[in-house]
Amino acid sequence: MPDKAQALESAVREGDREAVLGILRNLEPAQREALRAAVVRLAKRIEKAVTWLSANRGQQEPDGWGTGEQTHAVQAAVVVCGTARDVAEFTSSGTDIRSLAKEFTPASLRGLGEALLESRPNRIYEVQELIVAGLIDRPQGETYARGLLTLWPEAHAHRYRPSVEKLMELDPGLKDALPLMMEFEGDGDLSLAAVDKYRAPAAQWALLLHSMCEHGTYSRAFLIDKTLDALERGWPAFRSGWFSAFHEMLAPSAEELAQRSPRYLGLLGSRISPTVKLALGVVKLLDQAAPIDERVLLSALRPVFTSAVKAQVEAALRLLDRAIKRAPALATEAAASIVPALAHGSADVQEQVLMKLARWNPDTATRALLADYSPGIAAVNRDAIRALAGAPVAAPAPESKPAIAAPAPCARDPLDSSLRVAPIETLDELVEGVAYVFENDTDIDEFERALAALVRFSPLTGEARERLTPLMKRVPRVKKPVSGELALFLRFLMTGERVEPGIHWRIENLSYAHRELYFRCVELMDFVMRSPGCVPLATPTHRRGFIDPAVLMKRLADYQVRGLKPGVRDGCQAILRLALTANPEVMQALRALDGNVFEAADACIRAAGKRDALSTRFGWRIVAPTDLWPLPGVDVGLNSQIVIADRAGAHRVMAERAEGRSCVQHNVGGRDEGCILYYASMLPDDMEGFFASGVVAFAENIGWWEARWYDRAYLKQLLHPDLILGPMATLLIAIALAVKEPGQSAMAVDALVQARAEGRIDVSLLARDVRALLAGGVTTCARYAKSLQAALRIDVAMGPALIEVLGSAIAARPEEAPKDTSALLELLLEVALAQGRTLPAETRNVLEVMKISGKGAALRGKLLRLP
Amino acid sequence: MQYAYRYAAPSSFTEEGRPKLSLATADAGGAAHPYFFEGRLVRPRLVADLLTAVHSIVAARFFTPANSVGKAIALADPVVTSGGGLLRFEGFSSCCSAYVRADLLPQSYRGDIVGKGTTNVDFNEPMRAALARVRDDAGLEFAVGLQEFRLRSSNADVVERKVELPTRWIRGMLEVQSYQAGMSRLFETPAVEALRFFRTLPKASTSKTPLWIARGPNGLFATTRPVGGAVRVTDSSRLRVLHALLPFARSLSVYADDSQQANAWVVDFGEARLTLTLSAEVWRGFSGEGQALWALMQADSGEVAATLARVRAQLQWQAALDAPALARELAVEQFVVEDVLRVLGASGLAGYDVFAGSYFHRVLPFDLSMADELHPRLVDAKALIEAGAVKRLRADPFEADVASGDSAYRVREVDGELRCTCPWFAKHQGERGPCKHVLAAAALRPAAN
Repeated sequence: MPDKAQALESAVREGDREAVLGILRNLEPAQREALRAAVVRLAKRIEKAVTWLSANRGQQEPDGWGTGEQTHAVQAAVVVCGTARDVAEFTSSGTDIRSLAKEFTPASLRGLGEALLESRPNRIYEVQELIVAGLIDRPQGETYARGLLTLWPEAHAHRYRPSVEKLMELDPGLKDALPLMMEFEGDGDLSLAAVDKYRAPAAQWALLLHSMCEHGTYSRAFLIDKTLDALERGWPAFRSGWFSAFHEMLAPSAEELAQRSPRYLGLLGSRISPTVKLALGVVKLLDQAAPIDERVLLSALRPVFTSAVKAQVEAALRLLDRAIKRAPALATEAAASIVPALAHGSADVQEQVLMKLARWNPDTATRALLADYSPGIAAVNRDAIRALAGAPVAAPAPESKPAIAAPAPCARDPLDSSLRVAPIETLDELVEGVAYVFENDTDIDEFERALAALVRFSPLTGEARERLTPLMKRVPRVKKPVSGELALFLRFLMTGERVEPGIHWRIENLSYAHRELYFRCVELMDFVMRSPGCVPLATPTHRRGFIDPAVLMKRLADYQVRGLKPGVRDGCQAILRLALTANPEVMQALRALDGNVFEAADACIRAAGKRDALSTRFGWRIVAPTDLWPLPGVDVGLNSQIVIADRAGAHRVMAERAEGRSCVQHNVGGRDEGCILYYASMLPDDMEGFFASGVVAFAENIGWWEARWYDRAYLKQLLHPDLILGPMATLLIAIALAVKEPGQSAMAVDALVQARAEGRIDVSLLARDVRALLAGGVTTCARYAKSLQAALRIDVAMGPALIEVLGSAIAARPEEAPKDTSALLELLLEVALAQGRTLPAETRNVLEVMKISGKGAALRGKLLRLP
Repeated sequence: MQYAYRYAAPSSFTEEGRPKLSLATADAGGAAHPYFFEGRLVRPRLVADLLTAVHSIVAARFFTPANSVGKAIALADPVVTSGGGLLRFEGFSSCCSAYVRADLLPQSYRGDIVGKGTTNVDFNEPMRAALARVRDDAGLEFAVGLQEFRLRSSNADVVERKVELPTRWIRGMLEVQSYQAGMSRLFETPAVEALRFFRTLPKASTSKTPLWIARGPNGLFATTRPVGGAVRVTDSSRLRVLHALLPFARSLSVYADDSQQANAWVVDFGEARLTLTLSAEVWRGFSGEGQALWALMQADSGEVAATLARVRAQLQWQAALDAPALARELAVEQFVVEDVLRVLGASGLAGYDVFAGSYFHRVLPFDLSMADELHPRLVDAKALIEAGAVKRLRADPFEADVASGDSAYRVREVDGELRCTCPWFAKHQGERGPCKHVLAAAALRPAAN
């Protein structure tokens, strides 16, 4: 058949579909099937050409393949000569499969429906056409169900598509097939829930099926049963949720519900929360209409008492309570069945269970079981459970011992020997260190070690070059800012090449911190050219970027002996990184320094007044134009205005907390964790500006509207034991405790717990910040309650601090207390009871005037009754 | 790797008369349909929940790599092992970051273990859906496999399901055993306490912030700081499968290896246990780890190689392989037997029960002839050795240059550990097992070290 294949290829190349069909008409079916390999080869060639053309718009494919006509022609050949899978792979919805199939009755019709739907479920329209034309059998199973799911949204989105009703007219069998959709779970893309979620109500299956029910296409009984079938399968909550909602839409009558009573009772045992909610609602109605057999009800309700959903446990308790009133003989058995509900975290639920237990006369075995539930029960319920247990139950855990051993309550010296950064001494260490930084962009201490070592090892010896050569292969792939700068520095040392800003890479597009790092590295390149083998002045001697003043004095002395001139940035950065030291001689020597020591930095370092942190410490401060030294957070003489960009009420609080200090709110670190951490190392002894940036970052994203994982770098800094938390750091904790992203709020909890244990935080200031943020509507009570509860679990010694913070928090809006204030009141009551603490007078005063209803009012009453 | 599950009939759940759950089995290729168990379950609902948990993990994908469409992988069927009176159902998540095993102990059933071995078991959708309807009060007959007679007389259709089983899935199944063998117990807590704590964990994924979970005076708590006796977990949503089980459990035991690269959560129900083993990060499937590489490297030479066949001859589907007893019986050192067991685990011939602290015999029902090839680092290291790419520079402390491609990496001994200058080692610092250069260099390390 080579001549036929050749003729076919020529016709396809010409894009002559009629010629292709003419050749195929003259062949026997077996001869056509024998051409399959040639046709598939052609189809692949054209597909490849089409891909090439779409990537090279405006050009012609070198071999002239890929035209629309050729595609059209080869698709016809695939339908006639190929298999069902070939048709699914190489044809599109524009291919007239039906007419070709009618004329040729090709082998590809075998399993074509399934193949088309497996390739793309929305080819259902072609499948329906083939079914109506009697060319294929109706597909079965999940593949067909997935196709059917796309029918209605497609018809709604594209007017040229026939409606579902029209399709049913053409294909009466579709009526019986459509409910297949309710029998398969589907997946994230295709299930009834997924399809309906992003559609307007008019395009939703739920509404269409409901209207079909009203028009008599399907009976109510049929759809209710189908819905219950699906709910009984226990699919995940999202997919099951569609059926719960559809059931609600169908609104079965009391009679319809009663007919299916055992099924609803069975659904109480479902593992899916929306299903249990539905079942509880129905069972309540059924029980009200005609009391359900109490023993049956008790058995059906048992699984609900292990639910994590408070409303469901409470609803089940109410139902059981009604049943026990009717059949008191079951009380003891009922008591045993509700004990698992004591594992619920809500003190309310626990209280209700204990009250029922007290009434239902639990037997000895049930009372003994209570001992298992006693540890961890809410303090407000401890007396009740002890009374019920009869026998002594496990005493509550000692509440004064913290879970984590707390260090001494004082901040550690930043120059502590354990925090010393050892310089790299050997070539082996250098190679490993640089390789490590290339792969670990957020370790600033290691970055500084590696950078200093590269400067010190310059000019590189032959051996060093040989050892560093494998790392050069990695340089082009190191893209992150911090490690990227190290990579460029290595490249400069190895090749002498510098990377200049270009069209795609502009200095002004970099974050402040990255820009500073870039200029520092550029300056160091010049430095190694004129003064090789020296330690840069700004190389940290201790973690977090600190420099021991004594070491800096030695470096300066060495520079003076060797007649070296440090770079401007290196000098400035060295001064900013100086740590306070207890050595009076060193401090004296430092105070004696003036800008002249740093000859190259003379323009930007001056003796000055006593306004900023540096001036009070050293007797001088940096005065520089911002374009030369654009380090926000440091008072450089020109940047003293607080910028209030009131996108969130947090800024107002910031302004109050700043108390006259200069806290510029530029996004210094940008959107990279490494850069933010580098920013933190630029002025390690005064981090207020850094934390001010953090406050803005978190305040703008408190609801996690944008995935800004890098912002956690601000929180990491709060954990350093040598850092006394100032107003901005405290405000950052206050905001971060209430952010939505659970990882970040957990970090804030840890920062609070650790800082309090180490005596690094002013809890009163935190309490005031929390109140101000709540009053401004920036944060919510519920999130504070959750975070502070977590803090208490970590360290019970948090109790007094929590009482102060909670007392202040509830004072935010006592006249119109939000509903979730009850979460704070519940925690306050728990802490006060568990630790036997009294409430401060101010907190009592707030409670007296607080306007709150419901659960909040009850808690308020309990708090006021505390001794 | 294309893999076909071929069952003589689908697994089924019948509710007429006495409810019965029949699990269909098939060996690789579908030639045999082992018959393992026939009897009645003591706590039907618990077993249904355990099987559902196994399926939940098998069906889960906790991580989809960036720049790749989450390729829809047809679900692999769980594996069942019968031996020593235990029925064990194992599965693995499709992202390879979570491993699950449900162990039914002899007290969980009334009936007979009629066969021993390992095979696949059909977890079709209708059978899984039926598990949701299982209730204790109705009782439940249970069968794993079908009697030969009933198999012949059954007119049910043969079920054939082809799945694309990535090699990394099988690799993960092998690797997780090595991790488990290196774990020790960190804490045990009553199930009620664990349940209360789990309900406080965030519902959203916390994959970017590792949590350390520890037991303090006030019960369990989570922190983002490493604390003594705590277990490190990323993405606590992987633990959600345990929530539904804890109300019926006695206790929860937590295990981890020394470097916290994996952890195991064992829920004890008395008559059954569920083990959930998680990798250090959701994006780090067990398949990419290399804990077994040292053992596999030794498998071809020395005493381990000599003992391997002798230990294999002792395997008889034991529920616990007792290393000291085997060592006595074979008259070899215990550490040699332990190394051999590690090799068997990494070859798919043994699983590890972290609760019992011992290996058990089971043969994964896949083509295991290419077990070595499933470890690319091992293959590459052997190739480096064969090519003479390793040049020893110093014996003590050990130092060697390894030529790999057009680069030369230095492997050197620091504080007893081998370190390499390659990017892979720089990134993982040996936490994910040795790199190929370290493996190759180690072969030239003096035996005394």
